[in-house]
Amino acid sequence: MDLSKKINMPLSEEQLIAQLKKGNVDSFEFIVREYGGYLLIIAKRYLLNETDAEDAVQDTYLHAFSAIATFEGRASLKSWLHRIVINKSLMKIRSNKRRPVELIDDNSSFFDTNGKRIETETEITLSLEKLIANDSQREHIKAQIHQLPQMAKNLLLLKDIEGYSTKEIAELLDISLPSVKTGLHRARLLLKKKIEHQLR
Amino acid sequence: MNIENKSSYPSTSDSISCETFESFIVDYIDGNLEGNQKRIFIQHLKECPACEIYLKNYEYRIQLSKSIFANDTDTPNIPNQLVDAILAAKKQID
Repeated sequence: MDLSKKINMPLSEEQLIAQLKKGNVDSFEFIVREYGGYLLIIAKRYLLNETDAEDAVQDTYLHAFSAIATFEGRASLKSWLHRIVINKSLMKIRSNKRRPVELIDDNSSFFDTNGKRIETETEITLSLEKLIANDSQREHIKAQIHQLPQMAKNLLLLKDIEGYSTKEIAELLDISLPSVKTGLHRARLLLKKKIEHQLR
Repeated sequence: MNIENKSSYPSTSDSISCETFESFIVDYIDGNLEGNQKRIFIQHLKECPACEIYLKNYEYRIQLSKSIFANDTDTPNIPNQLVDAILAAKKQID
């Protein structure tokens, strides 16, 4: 759908935001079609259940429509929606949880009594580009990330994929900063254990 | 290892153990080590080949995670029924 044709004017992001703030119905449909698929993919990273992911996207738009008046345009519309969908996805996880959040097992390296590393590794020499270019390898690693315990997966996604700061993650997940750091380190080591054989 | 329970960063000694080194990796990668802390961390890195390789591999896997998801949003597609549901829900609120 080309909103610029429908409302008969070329639209910059600023103009689109202005239309949204005016309550232009076409502009609402435009941003749903323009960014909805992208937001659905982001939601599915956190929520494996399709219906939950769609609910998170719907919640995102309803939140965005009601908050558009306060949108200051410091980030792009897409980035703003991206942040909202992550929040809504995390909220969905929290509302689905009946058990307390699981702890991430300690997968730390082993050290001797002087704190010296006992297990030594050899350097990974496999080309990252080649690994990523291999569809089955890529999908296998992605599946391993999806199969991590929920908290480990959330920490990895938020930090290593989304690039949030540890402070932002602490706020998003409502846990302490040291817990984010410990959990993130353990999550990375847990993933290491699961994919190491593919990297050798 | 428990990062939460680690005692404070080394202040005067130039030598840290591999275990202490590892407990500061998250902060190092985030660029949150400064001054003496960073200097001592890097000093250990120079002196300990095992930790040097450990860090390289650790960073490789972070980059791998990032790359795995880098292109998965290239072909977004939203089902029409979801578009309809969102617009209908908005109408209800209006």
